[in-house]
Order: sequence, then C-alpha cells, then structure tokens
Amino acid sequence: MKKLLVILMAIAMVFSLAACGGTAEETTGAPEETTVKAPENPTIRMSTTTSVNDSGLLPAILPVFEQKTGYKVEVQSAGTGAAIQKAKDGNADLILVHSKASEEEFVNEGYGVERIPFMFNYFVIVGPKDDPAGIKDCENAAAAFAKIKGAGSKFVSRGDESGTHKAELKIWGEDKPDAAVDTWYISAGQGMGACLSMANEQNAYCLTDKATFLSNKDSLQGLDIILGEGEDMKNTYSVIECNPEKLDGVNTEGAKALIDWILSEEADALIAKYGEAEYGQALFTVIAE
Amino acid sequence: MDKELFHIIGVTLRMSFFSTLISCIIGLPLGVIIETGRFRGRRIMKKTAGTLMGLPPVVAGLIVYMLFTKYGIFGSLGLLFTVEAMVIAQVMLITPVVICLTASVVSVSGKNLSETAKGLCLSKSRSLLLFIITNRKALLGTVLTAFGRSIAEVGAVSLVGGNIQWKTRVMTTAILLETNKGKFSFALALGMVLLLISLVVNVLASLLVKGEKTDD
Amino acid sequence: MIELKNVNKSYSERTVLCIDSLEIKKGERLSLTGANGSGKSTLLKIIAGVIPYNGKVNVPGRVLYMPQKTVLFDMSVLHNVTYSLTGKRKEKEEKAMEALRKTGLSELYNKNALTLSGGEGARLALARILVNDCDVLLLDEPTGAVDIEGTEIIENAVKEYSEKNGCTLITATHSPLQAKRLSRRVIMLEKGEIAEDCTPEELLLNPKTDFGKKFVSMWRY
Repeated sequence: MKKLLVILMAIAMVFSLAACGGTAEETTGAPEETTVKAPENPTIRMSTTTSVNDSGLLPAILPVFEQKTGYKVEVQSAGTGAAIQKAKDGNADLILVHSKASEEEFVNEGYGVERIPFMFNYFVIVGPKDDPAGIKDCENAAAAFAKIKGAGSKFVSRGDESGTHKAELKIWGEDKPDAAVDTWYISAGQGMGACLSMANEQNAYCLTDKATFLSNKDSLQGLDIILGEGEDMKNTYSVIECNPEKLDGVNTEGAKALIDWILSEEADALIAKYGEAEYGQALFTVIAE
Repeated sequence: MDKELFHIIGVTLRMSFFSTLISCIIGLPLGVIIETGRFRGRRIMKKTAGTLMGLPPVVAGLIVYMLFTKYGIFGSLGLLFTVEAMVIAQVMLITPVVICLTASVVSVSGKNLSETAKGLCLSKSRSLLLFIITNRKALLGTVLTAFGRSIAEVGAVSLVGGNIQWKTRVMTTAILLETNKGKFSFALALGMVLLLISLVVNVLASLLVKGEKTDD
Repeated sequence: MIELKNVNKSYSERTVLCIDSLEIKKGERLSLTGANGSGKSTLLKIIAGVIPYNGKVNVPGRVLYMPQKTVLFDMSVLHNVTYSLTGKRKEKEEKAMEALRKTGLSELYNKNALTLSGGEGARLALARILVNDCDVLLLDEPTGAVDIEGTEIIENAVKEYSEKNGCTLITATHSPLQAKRLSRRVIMLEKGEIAEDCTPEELLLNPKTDFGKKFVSMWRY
C-alpha cells in the first residue's frame, strides 16, 4: 500500500516537472564583474508587463547596459494595470508597457514624464491547426474576429485589462461578445501563458503577442499562428520615465540613463536581432527616431 | 459587476461546499478508523495523511491538471476548467486535513468510547457514526477548517479552473485578477467580502450545533 | 459455557492477569471481587473481547459489556438507549422507555445525557445495556459511584433481567455483600490470579486465603 502510494506520487511528480520544463527559460549571458565605477544610486526599478518579461528580451539585452554603466536593473513584472499602479504608488523609476491609452493617462495624470514608443511587433491570432472558423485568409484581425463570432468558435480572452486584452477589445470594437451570454467566449482573467494553455486545451482561438507564443510553442502542440500582421494588430511598446516632481524617491538619473541606452543604436541592434537565434525570426521591430 | 459578483460568490460557495462535503464523507470515517481501529498499516496511513497535509496547493492543481489535460488519462471527460475539476483538486488538498484533525479529536475520548460501543455490540458503521455524533462539536471545527482552506485557496483552483468569467471564477481568483489589473483597493474590498462569507458560514454552523441541545 | 485456558495478559512485561483454567456455566451468576489492580477489569475485557491477550478463550453467544469507564453519548437520554437498537422507531422508543422506567429515569428521557448526575448516569448506562438481549452480560462495577438507593435500583434491574433472560452474568464489584446479593458464585482475584472460587457465603464466613480474610474483615467493620 505504502509502496504503491510512493510510486504513484513519484509518477505524478515526474509528470508535473515535465510540464514545467517546457516553459523554463535560460538566461543568456550572465553579467560579468563590472569594470565601471558604480553610479551613486545604482538601482533602477523597472515595472513591466508579464508579456514583456515572458518574451525573454530584457534578460537578453539588459546585462549589456548593466555592465557598461554599473547600474543594476530590477525588473518587476505584473499585469499591465498592476505594473502601472505600482509606478503610481512610487515603486518604480520607469515603466515599459504596451497599452497606449493607459500610457497616455499615466502621463496626463502627471505620473510619467513622456511616452516614448521605441519598438513594435504584431499580435497574432493563434488557433486550432484545422482553423474551424476559416480565418486564415482574412485581411485583418477585425474580419477574423467577426468570422470567429459568426462561427461560434471558442475564443480565449485574457480578460484582465492587460495591454493584450485592451488591444483585443479595440479590435472587437462595438461587437464585443458578452461572456455571460456567449459561452464560446472564454474570459480567463489570467496571464498570456495560462491563456495559451487554455486555448490549446479547449481548441480555441486566442490573440497573443508573437514572442510569448513562440517561447511556449513546445507545450502548445494543438495551436498554430493562423493570422499574423494585420494592420490592426500592431503592438507598440513604450518606455516612460516616472515623474520625480509627482513621485518621491525616483531614481531619475538611472531612469534617464536606461532610456537613453534603450534608444541608442547599440540597443536598437540588440533588439532587432533578438529572437533570430532562438526562433529563427526577429520578435520586435525598432521604431526609428 | 453586482450580478457578476453574485455569480462569483455562488461559484465560490458551490465549490467550497462540495469539496468540504466530499472531503468530510471520506475524511471523517477514515480519521475515526485510523485513530480507533486495530489493523496493520494504520500508523503508515496516519503518517501519510500527515505528510499530505503539507501538499502545496499548486502541486495538487498540477496533478489534477495532468490527469485531465486533453492528452491526459481522463482527458476525454472534458473536466478541465470546470468547477468539478476544482472540487477534485480541493478534495485532494483538504481530505488529509480532515483525516488528521478528526483523528486528533477522536483520540481524546477514543478508548473508552470504543469499549463502550463494542460492549453494546454496535456494528462497525454504527460505532463509526457514534464517534462522529458524540464528537460533533469538536468536529465542527474540523469541518470549518476544511471549508476555510477550500474557500481561501487560489493556486490550485486558478490552475485547474482557469479563472473563467461566468464559469469558474471564484473569490480568490477574482481578487488575484483585480490585483493584476492594479485595482488594489477593489481587490481588498473583495477580500473583505470573502471574510464576510466566511463569518456567515461560521456563525450558521455554530448555530446549527447549538440549536439541538435537548432534541437530538 | 465460557471457558478460559492459560490466559495471560501483560503490559510491557508486567503481568496483570494469569489464569490457568476457568469455566463458567451457561446461566451462572458470578461475581468478581478483589482489590484495585487485582485484574477484575482486565478479565472482563478479555471475556468481552475488547483487548488482545494470550491464551484460549471461548465465549459462546452474544456478549454485552459495560466498562467501568462507560461513556454516555452526547445526545438525549432516550437516544442513548435507542442507539443500539434496530427496527421501527416507535418500537425502539417503547422498549427504551420501559428500560428507563425500570431504572427510574423515565422523567428525564428528553434531557441530554451529559447533564445527568453521576448516579443517574450509572443507571442510564445500565438501561442502555439492558434494553438489548444477550447470552452473557458483563458489568464492571455498575454501582461504583452510586448511593444506596441507586445501588438498589441497579441491583434489582440486573437481577430481574438475568432471571427473565437466563443469561450468564458476571459482575465485578468491590463489595462481597453485593456479590452475595447478585450471585451464587464469587471469584476473588489477587495480583491477577484466582485466590478464591466459592459461594459468597463461604467467602464472607470462611475465607481460605490470608488475603481473603483481610479483604472480608475490612467489610465487617
């Protein structure tokens, strides 16, 4: 009895470990000992969204900045709303998000200095490989969404007021489904990774950023990118320096230094190249000044 | 939001009630048997239950997820992201707690009550029931602990339930969602509602036991 | 007939009971007496089959046993008595009320058992036992903490039951006088062994062992 139980437990453990293994990412290029004299306040607090963090971009490029300047960047990731709220509460020096309306509100309320869009990519619609709603030749996401709605195919929505969710709502426009009535519309209220797993489980469509989908592709065998790069699927990322006049204890110098570096040619090159090695395609496009 | 809030409270109560009920149906008799029975392996069972009390909720969630995923053993049942799957994960988490707490409650009166019951030639099921009835006031604490665990759990239920609006969203996952949205004060208010529900359930339960002093 | 052969019970190397041979006839009424720790309760528990032991014990028929530390159930007096019964509710309650009447508890039927006094509790424990039929009735100090009046009620109820039922009765008691009132045969235990096996009168008038003399003499004063 005991032995059997032990074996069962062991099997369960192995299963669950295997399940986690697929999404684990290795950090590239561990930062070496810094040779530059550390700045007065060396800690920069960056508040960003989970999808940015999940793409693996930051661990790939930030060590270069840290090594060069002696700053240490602490990246906090949360949903877009929480990421911005944390900055409003004075717990960040700059934010890196992708939700234009929220960003403008952040600046207009005086929390942010200036919204600086610096890169973009495209949201993609992933779905079951057989494409039950037949959206693969649609011109843009709005047309695809209309077909999905018409066919009543399952669709997983983030439902968490994140940047991705807001982009999705914008595409739906007036035609936004009501989760209370439209049972095919699954409002998950979870992160991008969890939503993609759910779409995979339920044979559903899902609007996602390309990076998160590609980095989780191994565990999403049932899904493919069905529609990519429609003109209404552009996903722009911005950095905003937190306003020291409104918020106490902001590391303005650090934030400025980091933003300057992100806009530099050196960073541009790193961003433009990111993803080629791992996924065979670049994940972000730099916005030229 | 009001209508949705009531729906969330409804799902929360449904999930907690059924997981508590099932855990008690399994755990109360097992707890009594483990404490009062004389059979081989009861010590191992006791230790196992004690160990499983420390099972991290997310691990329980993962096990249920792996069992009910599309390509899992029970994938064809289509139970993933349903309240049923949440109840199953909760039962895994709570039953060991019910077993251990029941065993320790029963151990106080155990030997004498068990001899009294045997002396009256009570059947096994009758004496099991007797143990539960005579200890019902102390066991109410066990049931409420199980209920409290179930209603406050978030890791396992968000994994196997999916926090789907109008379907599997419960108070805790709603709180988590609002927190992620950055609506911290609304999330806190939801937390208060959760506490209030817990309070009402506790008061109702103690009234239930108090109310039958002479008339059982 | 109840038979015990080479029965031995010890707790971590301390032997508390050691009986080579004991036979009790069907329908016989027997008392067990002896000092505290002499093994009375242990012997009853072995016959009742509620503790493990070494040796051979044969007890035919249905055995009812009332332990010394009998537990009253946290429910009404009536439910305490009906709990061990099966059948229709009305019949069960009629039977239980009859048993409560015989033990003088009928007026308390709807009180919670845990609110009873010590004497009432002892009578309830007995009523709960006597409402059942049996072949062997084992009572461990049924009047341990009961006043004279209560003792009389309990003894009368036990006598009436055993006469009507024809069951074998074994009662553990500290009192040789109660042994005389309840039985025709008395066994005195000393340190887990049988010291005397005789009629109650013989034990009272002419004890064979030194311990028996001392034990009985204390009762004369």
